[in-house]
Amino acid sequence: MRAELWDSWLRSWLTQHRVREIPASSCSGYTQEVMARIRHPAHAPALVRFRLPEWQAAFTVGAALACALLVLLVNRPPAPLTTHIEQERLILADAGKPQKLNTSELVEQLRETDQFILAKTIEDVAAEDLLNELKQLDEERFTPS
Amino acid sequence: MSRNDPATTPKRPGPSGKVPAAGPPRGGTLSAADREAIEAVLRGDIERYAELVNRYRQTAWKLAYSLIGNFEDARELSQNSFVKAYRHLRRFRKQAAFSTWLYRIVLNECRDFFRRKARQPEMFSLSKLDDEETSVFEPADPGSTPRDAAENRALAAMLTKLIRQLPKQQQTAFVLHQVHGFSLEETARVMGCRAGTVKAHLFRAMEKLRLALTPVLEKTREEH
Repeated sequence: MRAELWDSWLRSWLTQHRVREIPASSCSGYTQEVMARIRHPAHAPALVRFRLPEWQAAFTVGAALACALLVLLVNRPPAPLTTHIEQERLILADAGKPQKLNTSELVEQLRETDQFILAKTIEDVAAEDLLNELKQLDEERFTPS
Repeated sequence: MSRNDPATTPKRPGPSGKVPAAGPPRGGTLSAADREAIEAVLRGDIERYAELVNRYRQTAWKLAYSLIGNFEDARELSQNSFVKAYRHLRRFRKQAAFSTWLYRIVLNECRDFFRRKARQPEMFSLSKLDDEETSVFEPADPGSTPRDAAENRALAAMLTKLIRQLPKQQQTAFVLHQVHGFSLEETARVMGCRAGTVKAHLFRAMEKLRLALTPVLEKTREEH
C-alpha cells in the first residue's frame, strides 16, 4: 500500500474506531479516591526549592575550580634566583668553561634581587608605593626651582 | 459519569486530520477556569482540586489505557498522576496548559510502569492476557455481517499489538497525535521535545505500521 493511501486509510479507520470507553462501573469513586489521597498530610504540596540542574551544577563547580587554579598559577611567586646557581654551574661545566665563580658574592647579589622580585610579587601594593615614591623623588629633583 | 460526556470525551482527528473543537480544554495556555482552581488550591482550598480531576480524568485515564492496555492499571496510574500533580502544584509555572503538564506526568507514570513490568514480569501475569489479546479500540459500527465484525476485531487487535511493539517514543507520538488527536505542537509539549522530533517519530511509526499491515489489508481486499 502506498504511503498516501495508507495515511488516509489509517485516519479513516481511527475515525471509525475509538479508544474503548471506560466502563461506568470503573468510574465510580475515581475523584473521591484521588481527593482522599490528597487530603492525607503526607501528600501536601511540596515546597519549591531552588536547585540547579545537575549539568549546570557540575559546570559551575568545574568553572570555579578552574578559575581558582588559574589564579593560583598566575600569582605563584617565582622560584628564588639563588636556586639557579647550581644549574648555571652545571651548564658551564658541560660547555667546558672555567668554573671559577665567586658563588658567595653571586648568591648575595641574587638574594637581593630575589628580595625585590618576591616583594613585588607578594606585596604588589608596597612595591607600587615604592615606585610612586621614586617617581615623586625624580620629579622633585628635576623640577626647576 | 456518562460514557459519552462531551466535556470529557477526548478529541480525535477527523479524516482531514483536523482536531475538532469539542472536549476538555487542551490548548497551549492555561485556561481561566484551571487558573482559578489552581490558585484556590494553592491558597488552601484543596477541595477545588476535584474540579481539575473531573475535567481531565477521562483523557488522562484513556491516555494511560491506550499506552498500557489495561483499564485497572491505567486507572491507578492516572490517579497517581493527579496526586503527583497536586503534590508539585507549586512547581507548575502556569505558562502552559494544566492538561499538558498533567499528561506529561501520565506519560512518566506509564514509563515507570513499563520499567517495573520489565523488572518483575511475574507480578503482572494476571493482566498479561488482557494486555496481549484485547484491542484498545472499539468500532463505532461493529460491521454489517459477523464476518465483517470478526475482521474488524482482528484488525483492531493487530493494530493494538503493533502499536505496542513500537519503540516507546514512536508509540507515544503515535498514540497522542493519531489516536487521541493532539496537535503536533501539543504532542511535542507533552513529550518534552520539538515538533520536528515528533514528526520524525510519527513518520517512522507510520512506516513500520504500514509495512506490517499492508499484506494483511491486501489479503482482506482480495477476499472481498
